[in-house]
Amino acid sequence: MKRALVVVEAADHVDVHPTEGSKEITKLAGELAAGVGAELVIMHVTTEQDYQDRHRQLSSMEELDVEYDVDTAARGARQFAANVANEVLADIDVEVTPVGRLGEITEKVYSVAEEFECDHLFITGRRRSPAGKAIFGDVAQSLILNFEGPVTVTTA
Amino acid sequence: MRVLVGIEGSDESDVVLRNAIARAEEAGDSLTFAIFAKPEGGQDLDTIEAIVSAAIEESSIDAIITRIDDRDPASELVAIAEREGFEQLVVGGGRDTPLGKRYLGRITEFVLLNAEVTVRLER
Amino acid sequence: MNNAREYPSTDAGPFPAPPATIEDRAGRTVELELATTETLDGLVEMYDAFDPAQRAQGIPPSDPERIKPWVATILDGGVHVIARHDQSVSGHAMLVPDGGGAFELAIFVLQSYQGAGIGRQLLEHLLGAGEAASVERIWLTVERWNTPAMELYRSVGFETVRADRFDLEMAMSIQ
Repeated sequence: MKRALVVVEAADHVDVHPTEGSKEITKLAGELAAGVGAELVIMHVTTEQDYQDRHRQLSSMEELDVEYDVDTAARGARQFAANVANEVLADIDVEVTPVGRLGEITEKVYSVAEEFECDHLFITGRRRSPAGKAIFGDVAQSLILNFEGPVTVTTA
Repeated sequence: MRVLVGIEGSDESDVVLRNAIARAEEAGDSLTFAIFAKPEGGQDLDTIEAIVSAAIEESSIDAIITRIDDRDPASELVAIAEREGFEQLVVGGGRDTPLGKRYLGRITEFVLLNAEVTVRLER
Repeated sequence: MNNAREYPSTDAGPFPAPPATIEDRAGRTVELELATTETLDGLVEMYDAFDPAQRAQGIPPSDPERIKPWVATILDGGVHVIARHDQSVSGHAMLVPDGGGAFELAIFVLQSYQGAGIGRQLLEHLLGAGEAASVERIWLTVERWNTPAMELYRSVGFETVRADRFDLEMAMSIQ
């Protein structure tokens, strides 16, 4: 492992709080990377849907005069990734590059992995169905099957 | 980190074996190999154990080999990981069909859906 | 869960509703009835006795201390039918609301009662109870290698809606 890619998710639609699983996988990846002198790329993707919703909400508050465009959204996603890293990796000596993207998650994960030459993927895979069964979302299934290198999945 | 590695004696397992050892040499993991024969046949347990021991001997690490002689090796693999408090479970990350479409083996799918610990798919 | 799921366009049913008394293939008299909050302890007892090797997708939970909270959570809503024999619970079928207007189905039969036809009866009576509770769309996930379970689901009207994944999804419509 030279450079690992960690995908972090928000527990809400406004990219404020990371999921517990995201913090857990970031910590694990950080410890493993520190152990072997590898670097981490921590990325967050804001989906088109969340972007549109936020854009609509902010535009309706004219008096605020805020500008929320695709660049703001990508910067926000990057900030979210950076916040997770700061919160979780404060005590771990590892080099971290936060990355934010706007769009479709799987597509962005592959493009970032290629751009930063990441050789290991860390994701929070498993969720719980209403009855409590372990299930994987479409994104996790696709990444697990198609990423070229090893994939580490937390099963919280 | 205490890592349990599932090896079933297939091409996919060769990759798992090599990479798990390489990573353990780098990171100082403590490895236990749980070996089992594929239900549909293939290498028997003695052959698999010989391959795994040889790979360990060639490396700089020490590792434990344990045999799973169970009708349902996937379920037993998950049970061992939980019972003995392993921190990570490593299994094969899929094979390719003749057309090049990747699919996960039954063991890997079962582990992903049932293991309580972190799972690493090696490929 | 996922609004992209497609449901069969034709409705299955009608199904028999609980309560009912059946005789299983081992000659045991089994009562099928709606669960109430009073069933909680009986269900916990059943799941405590459940063979861990037969857990599917992480349920029932492996940690005994998590069984009661799990049962209490799922009993909190939806439709639940239990099979009772000799005062103890031997099977449990449930429709759990998914927050999107549909229901997830899950079913468990204690090992010593398996292979006696209770699963099918439990499933059919759950669907009957679902009809009575105006449930319309039902889905489930099943491990792809679990052929007996898939056959059972198919025989009552479930169709596979997503097969390109490792937890295969099936869905059905009733009413």
